[in-house]
Amino acid sequence: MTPANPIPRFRRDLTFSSIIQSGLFVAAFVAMLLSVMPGGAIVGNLLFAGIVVAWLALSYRSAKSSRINADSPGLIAAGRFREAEQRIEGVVGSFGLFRNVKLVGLHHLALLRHAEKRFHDSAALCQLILRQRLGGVKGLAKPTRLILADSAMEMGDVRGAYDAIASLYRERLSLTEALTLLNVQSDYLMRIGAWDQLFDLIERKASLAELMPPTAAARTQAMLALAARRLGREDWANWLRKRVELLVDPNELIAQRPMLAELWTPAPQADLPAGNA
Amino acid sequence: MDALSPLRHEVQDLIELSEPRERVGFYRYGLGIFLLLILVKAYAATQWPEYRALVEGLASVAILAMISVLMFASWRVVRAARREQQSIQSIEELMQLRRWPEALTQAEGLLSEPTRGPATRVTALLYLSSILARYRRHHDAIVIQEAMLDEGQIDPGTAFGVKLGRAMSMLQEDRLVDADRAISELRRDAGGDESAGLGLVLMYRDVKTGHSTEALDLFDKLKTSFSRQLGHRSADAHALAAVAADALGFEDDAHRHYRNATLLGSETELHRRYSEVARLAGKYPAETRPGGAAPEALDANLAPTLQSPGVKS
Repeated sequence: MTPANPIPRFRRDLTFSSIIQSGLFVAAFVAMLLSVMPGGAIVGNLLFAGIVVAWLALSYRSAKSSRINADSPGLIAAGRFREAEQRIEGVVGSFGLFRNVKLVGLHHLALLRHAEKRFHDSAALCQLILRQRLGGVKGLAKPTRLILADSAMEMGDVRGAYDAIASLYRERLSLTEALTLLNVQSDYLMRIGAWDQLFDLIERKASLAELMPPTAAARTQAMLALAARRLGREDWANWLRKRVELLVDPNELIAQRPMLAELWTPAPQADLPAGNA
Repeated sequence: MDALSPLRHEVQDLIELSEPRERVGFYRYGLGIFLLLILVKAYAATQWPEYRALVEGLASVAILAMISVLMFASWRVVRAARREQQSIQSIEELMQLRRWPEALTQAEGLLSEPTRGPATRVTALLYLSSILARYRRHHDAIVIQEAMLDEGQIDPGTAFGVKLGRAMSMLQEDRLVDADRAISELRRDAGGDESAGLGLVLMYRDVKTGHSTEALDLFDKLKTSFSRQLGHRSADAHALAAVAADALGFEDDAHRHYRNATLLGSETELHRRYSEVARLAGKYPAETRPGGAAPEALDANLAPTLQSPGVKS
């Protein structure tokens, strides 16, 4: 299984792979020099061929890890955490020549820890990834920031969540990323009591929330409903609250975000829950 | 019902055209040629020492040329794979945003030539079958679903989803015997797991065959699973429950289910999906959304929604 703290191992592997890469380059240079020196042609050429074969073998190993990496998000989404853990261990826990493959593996581990609600671990992994030079995998930065922001919100670190998502507003996001950002942003605005901003563009936000997975959809709409109630927009508050009641048990939401209990406090002319009407 | 822009290809053609082309293992050839060049170079240098400089020069140029060709080929492969992946992601987003005509055009474009890998092809075919089902072209959707299952290149989870889509399309096409067989297969695959998707198919079969009491019992039994697994798509289950309750003359229940269905999903979309639900139009009032009905297609430009929150604390 993946070690309790894979971060030291990751750092060690990164250093080791840099040394190996540099070593191979130096050896290739020496081999080329040897091949043009009198009497050294055969040794030089054979050494050069050996280096190329070693490089290709390590590249093949990395390509295999990439393929293993590709399956992990699907397994995590399906809740098959043990299988995902095993696959990620195959990537993060073994030596690889290329740092990009390791970084993707680490990102999947952060995703897994987030899904397992181990938010401290998830946040630490995200911070580690974001401190790296991402180069060819710079696409990882956005989803990693989103995981970090959500983990921070779950840990009650409002400032950390803001720092994580602030830079995303300048970036072009995929639909999935935009939906995650909407969820985190709503949570953040609710925590700081920015009701006007939370209610702003409510029609579009309510439509987009429908595209989220059920629990996230319910939570986002409950937060929007709370903003509507605080602003005296009972039409939106009631409509959104009834939707939430059809999606999840309100008690579960209240356990996660106690502020949302306000939606179910007796209010004048409040409707009965939609499912029980 | 939407008018479907005509596909430029037959569905069967798209299935065949999209089959991944046999890959040329040029890396292996490259490695072989490289080793051969090294050996030839070493041999020539020892056999004809007077031409050593020339041989060294020619061999070095050949090796450099080969490395450049391999790098260029790798770059092209990576670029093509990335484009294909972006195309798949784009189709998925267009479907989620209910921009069906654009999704259809892109899916057809992707499938009208050999894909780079079986995984991309399977995903694209899956999306195409969903788009066609959305346009009520259930016969074509079934053709794709059958082909995917026959080829057997999909994992059990995806296969279950494809079988669910196929059973639903068969019910829509009134192929009740085939649907029953498909449902039996699904029950076997599901084992003891409670699948909301399968529950929805079973409810629809009961509604189709006039077993309204069974449909309502199933709805009550799976109510929580519907909302937990299907989210807003559980509107379908509420809508079918409304049809069943209406058939039994339970008008209050039908009203409640219809209201819940239209609270979670668009009334127009529900009518488009199920002709049985469309018959309830006007009989029971739909839940009204503050600010008017939701737009048919969502705006892909999300920037205005995602403004910076600022910091208050």
